[in-house]
Amino acid sequence: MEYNLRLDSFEGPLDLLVHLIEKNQMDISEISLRKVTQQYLDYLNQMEEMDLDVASEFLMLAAELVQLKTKTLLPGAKKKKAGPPPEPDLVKRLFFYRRVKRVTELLKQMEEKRLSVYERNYDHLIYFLSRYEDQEKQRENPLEGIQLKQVVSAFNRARIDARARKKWEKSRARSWQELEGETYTVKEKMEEILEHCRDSSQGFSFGKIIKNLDNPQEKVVSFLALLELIKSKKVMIERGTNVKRLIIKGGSV
Amino acid sequence: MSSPSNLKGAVEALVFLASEPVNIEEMAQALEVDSREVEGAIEELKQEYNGDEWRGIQLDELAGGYIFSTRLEFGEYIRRLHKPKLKQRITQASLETLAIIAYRQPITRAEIEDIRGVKAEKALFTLVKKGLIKEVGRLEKTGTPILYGTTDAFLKHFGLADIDQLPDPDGLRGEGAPDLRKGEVEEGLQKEGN
Repeated sequence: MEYNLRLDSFEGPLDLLVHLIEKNQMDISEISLRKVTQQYLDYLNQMEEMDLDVASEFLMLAAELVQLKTKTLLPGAKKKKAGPPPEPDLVKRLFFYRRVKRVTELLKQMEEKRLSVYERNYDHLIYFLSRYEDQEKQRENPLEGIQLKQVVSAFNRARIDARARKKWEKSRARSWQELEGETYTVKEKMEEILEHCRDSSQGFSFGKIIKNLDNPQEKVVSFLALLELIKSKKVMIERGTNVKRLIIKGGSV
Repeated sequence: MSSPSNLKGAVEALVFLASEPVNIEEMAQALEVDSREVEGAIEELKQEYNGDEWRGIQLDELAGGYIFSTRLEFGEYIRRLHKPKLKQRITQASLETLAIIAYRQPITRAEIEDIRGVKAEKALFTLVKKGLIKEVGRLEKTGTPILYGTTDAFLKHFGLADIDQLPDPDGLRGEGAPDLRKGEVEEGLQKEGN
């Protein structure tokens, strides 16, 4: 069970690596990285054995470590070295990370101190007034006698309910769409207008076509159809006795 | 209205009633005196309040202003009697992210994740929600990522007068810090300024 506690306490792969290096009382360097690679991998194995999801970040760093170690095992790789080998990126990152850890610790101490310092604050006064009421409430434990199992099953039920509700809402939304789904095509409307033309040789007004239409979409499509007919010269437009009124007539110009 | 003849007392009164840190300029304006005079009065008050060991309250310089607060060692008794709203500790993951932002601001999420080696999205979300950090600009780079910086609430939470009060034993804020950012932040900011 010791591992359980320790698993929680690592903030990430770098944290684990710093821990391993310090546990082995080494400095951060390429050599110590190579030396703790096996320990790092063992650690991941242990996590897997315990059925914990090993986060991808841990695996990525494992790959980096193995690559680092492989390099030195390759023949010829060592010969090229002239002077001190360049520090690998990982070493730099570990150095930096350790500094971050250090100041994080400082912040934590500062926070701890400040938690006990109280500023004059309006919140406090409000709290002071309501504290008796709150104390009453605290005495009643709303979860008294309820077991963890019950909470889990209640949660699962709520989850299933939520899923069913989503499904239902989706299906409802779909049926709405079906109602609104009436569509008008320009082609259809063009036919209608031409039919009107055949029926009345003296022509008719556009208003007559759209007079009985409620749906704004249908009106617009009808108008588009008229424009299309004018463009293709299948109907003519004449100005009637009333200037505002346009007369539609069949046949080309 | 005229200036008070007893400036020290006036400043004490102004700070006494404040539930948020009041700054020197605000006080100088209300008192119709030079801000330097207020500074002098504050200095005297500081000596009186913070110098005497027996006192239960102290004059605190916090987030760019002044406020009276109770002394650390009496926190326990205050909690017993007044039951103030508990101040929440920041979780380890959030604290680490916050430390990176505090010492390396302005900084993007990707840069934070680079340093920590893990995702920081959740921690950032929590910190923004708590008001400890905020968006301070955008980096002029592909995707114009958000640059984060600390807020006054951050200073208050840690009892700091200003960001320069952060203890920095390793020079994490200074130029000597290893350049993990490849100069992108500085470049972006310069562009923004132009």
